[in-house]
Amino acid sequence: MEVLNFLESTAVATWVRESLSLWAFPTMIALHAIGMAVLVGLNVAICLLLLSSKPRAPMDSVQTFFRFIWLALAVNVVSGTLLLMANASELLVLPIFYIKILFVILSVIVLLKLQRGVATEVNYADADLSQKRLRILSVMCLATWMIALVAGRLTAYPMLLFGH
Amino acid sequence: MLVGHYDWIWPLCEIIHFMGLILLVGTVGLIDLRVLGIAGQLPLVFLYRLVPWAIFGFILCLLTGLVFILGDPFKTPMDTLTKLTFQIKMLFVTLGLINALIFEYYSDFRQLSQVEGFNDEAPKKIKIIAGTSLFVWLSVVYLGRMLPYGDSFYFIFYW
Repeated sequence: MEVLNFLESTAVATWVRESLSLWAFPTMIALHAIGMAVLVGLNVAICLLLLSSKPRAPMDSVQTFFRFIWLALAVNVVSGTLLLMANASELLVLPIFYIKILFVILSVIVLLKLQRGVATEVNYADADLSQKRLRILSVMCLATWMIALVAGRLTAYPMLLFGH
Repeated sequence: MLVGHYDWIWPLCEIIHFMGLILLVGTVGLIDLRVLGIAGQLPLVFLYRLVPWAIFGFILCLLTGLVFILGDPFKTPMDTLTKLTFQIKMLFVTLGLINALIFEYYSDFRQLSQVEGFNDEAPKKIKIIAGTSLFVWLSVVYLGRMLPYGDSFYFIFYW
């Protein structure tokens, strides 16, 4: 608890939480939402494309989109860290928050595998096997993001989960 | 109303609203980026398959959005409708829809690039439509997230 209070008492955390400037909390939370829309949105769109690719699309060119996905992830790691520091003692005691973080990490791991899979797809001798692998990764990615999203939204409703 | 009686309806609608915006912004964003020249080797005809998902996402947002306006236990619909941030958000949603209709029906690019093998490097005016689309839909997300913070979003110009 002392660590959490220390995090909250740092100058930057206090500024994010208490400043009346719209650049503080509202902008951080808006950046977090825009980052989510780009990160998860493009990721979901690529998964849907991989799942519906008949006739096959030249999927290796999809990897160019990943630079926008990683940029959005960076925006959300920074804005998320600041938001977390500002409310550490409220968030870090919630089990649902850890579930969110766990599934964000899982999503990013699957995303990395997906990027690798898309990039090397053309080199696979067995095209069907490669396609199947990409489809499985796409379904996993959709599922992990969905859980992360649900858990993330529920961090705002701890009473709903724990009843007090 | 139902929303007031069951405290899980509001968060459930928020989750569905987020999923809708992810589908809409993600699929439309992918097409916009491609039209702007990213991943130029990827034929647009493949990406157009995502359009029904964008429409589905929009419908999810529209329906859950109506719940937020009509079912808020703490606010009347007029409270929301008279909010400047909300009005500007709706203006941007309308702009986004008109922009999408122009891309779909009033430019022959969409029809031409349906054909596989068509060189779908977009002309400048189509790139402007795609850039507008990206700006407008991300602004909608921004304005939507600013709604709980009152009408002070324009203070952004003051620093």
